Amino acid sequence: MKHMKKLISFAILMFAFTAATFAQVSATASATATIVSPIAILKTVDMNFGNVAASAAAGTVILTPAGTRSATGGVTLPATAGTVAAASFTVTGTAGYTYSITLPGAPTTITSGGNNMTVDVFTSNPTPTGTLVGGTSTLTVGATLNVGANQVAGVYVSATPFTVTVNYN
Amino acid sequence: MRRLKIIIFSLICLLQITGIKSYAQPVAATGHIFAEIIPVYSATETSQLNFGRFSPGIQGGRIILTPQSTVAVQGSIFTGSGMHNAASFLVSGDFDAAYSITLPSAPVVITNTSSSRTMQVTDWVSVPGPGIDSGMLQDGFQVVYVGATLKVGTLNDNPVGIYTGSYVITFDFY
Repeated sequence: MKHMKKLISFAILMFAFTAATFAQVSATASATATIVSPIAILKTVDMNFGNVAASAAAGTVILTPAGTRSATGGVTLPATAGTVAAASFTVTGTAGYTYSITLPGAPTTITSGGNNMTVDVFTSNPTPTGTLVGGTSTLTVGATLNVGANQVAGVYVSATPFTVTVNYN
Repeated sequence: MRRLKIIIFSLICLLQITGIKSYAQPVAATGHIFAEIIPVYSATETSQLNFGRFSPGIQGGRIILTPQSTVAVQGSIFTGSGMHNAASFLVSGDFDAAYSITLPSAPVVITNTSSSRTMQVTDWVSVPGPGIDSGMLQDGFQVVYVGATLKVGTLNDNPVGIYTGSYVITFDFY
């Protein structure tokens, strides 16, 4: 305890000494900060695989971000394609900035009555990052539709929408 | 007071040096997914059109084969014991889809492969009848029966043999 008192006294003494002998100096420095427009994303077009013909064999429909489709397995694409569209989003923010894109990692289920199909392997253009040329960028998203054997006819819609996340790099 | 300013100034410098940075929050948007599974429409010939076995006689004539597979004869034709049969098609697709049936509008020629002599098949009929939305699937299926009339020449025109040919019948779904 006595030792501590000595230390404190010494510290106070040093402080006082320092304060008393402080030499005033000054320097200037520039501080900069850039306010950027917040990044935003807006869906403009929902994803639509169009008309798909199922058969006794399962298969897939691959929809590219460009909106073209191809089929594998027992699935065929009829001449009457219906409405086929890749999902489209408009990303806005500060011109020239790049942004990262996060697509769904888990399959999305689409349903028609009591019947289900899954959609997975989401792909995007651009990928994996985009550039806000002029402050805006169009982001298109495709995916793979998994069609079961003898998939029951009907219009299938996602019960829960899929999410696309963007952020400044 | 002066010391306080210096401390604040130092603190600002320190913040700049240590690179304190503010991060933008990620933003997200959602989109829905649509797809339509359409039924596969098909038509399969389950029974061939067959006028059976017959003899033309002196003048020839006509054999009228109804969609119900009954035969009526005009002219000097003598029917034999050969099986005759209306054509039948199994049409499949959506549960209650309507469709149109189009039968051959021009005579269809059937040919004897050995003699190259021909006969004409005309006056095509069907059950259900041809026309727009004349067909209607029930539980995804329907059988369409097709008959026609065979024009037979004399024995000289149509010598003995088997005459065959093909025709097109169209089922249109909308």
